[in-house]
Amino acid sequence: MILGWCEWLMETWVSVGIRESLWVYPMLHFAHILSNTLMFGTIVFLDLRLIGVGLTKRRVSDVAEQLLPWTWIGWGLMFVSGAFIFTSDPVRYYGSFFFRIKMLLMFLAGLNALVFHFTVYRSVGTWGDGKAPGRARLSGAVSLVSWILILVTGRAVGYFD
Amino acid sequence: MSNSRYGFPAFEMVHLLGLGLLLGSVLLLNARFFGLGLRRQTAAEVASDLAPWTRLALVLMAFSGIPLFASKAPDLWSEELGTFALKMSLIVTGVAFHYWVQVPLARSGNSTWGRPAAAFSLLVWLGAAVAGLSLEFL
Repeated sequence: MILGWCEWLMETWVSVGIRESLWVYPMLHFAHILSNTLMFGTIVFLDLRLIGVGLTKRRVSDVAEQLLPWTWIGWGLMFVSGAFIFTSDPVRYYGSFFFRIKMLLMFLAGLNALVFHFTVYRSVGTWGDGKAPGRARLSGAVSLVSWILILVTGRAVGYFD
Repeated sequence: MSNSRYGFPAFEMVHLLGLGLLLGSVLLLNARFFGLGLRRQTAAEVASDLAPWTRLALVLMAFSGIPLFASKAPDLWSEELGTFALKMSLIVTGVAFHYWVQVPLARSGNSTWGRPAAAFSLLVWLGAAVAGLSLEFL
């Protein structure tokens, strides 16, 4: 069913247009990687603070509240550029092992962020200046590892089937 | 490394992780100079918080960049010398500007030159990143 949808998508003018254009395809990759630096480059600092190895002089709430707007902007740009990259060759991406692993990891990272935000993060006001609670540190570690692997598998999609 | 199927992609992955960390830390410091983010801390505090991570990112990029360069050196020399030279000049400019201009500016609390310097820094780093990406994708 998904494959059928990918085959339909591949025939749309957007997909054909990106494939046949000399510039749009590399520009989409530029946008995807540059917005990644905004998303990954900000979320790692929250993760490092949660784990307790970076920005330790600042409160977790200060780090989270000030970084998350940037993370979301980066995420939005990544999603849009990524969606167009997928549209350019949906059947290949659908069949790609690394693409599937990447999507699974993104789902896990999203789930981890949701659980973190709606459970342990609610008590952030009581954490003070020191270490975050164990579950928050675990969440930071899961997020950091997931995003590193998402970046690694994302690059692997370009090299291997 | 050119004989290995995995060598080049593996170093490139490290290079991209380093790029994320480097541009992330540079963008955040510049955002602070523009007054757009991390305003609960002073520019000096942001610079000192980010310093170890900027350094780590530069180390990751250099150590992954050298083998990437070595495996592509003949092509870079014959076909992409202009882009590669531009990329390296921008990186040298960016690193020098960061350590010799921006960090001292952050520490001094000077409010006149923070914004223009941040704009220059963003242009230099984005230019370096785009030149680097052109070597890979164009």
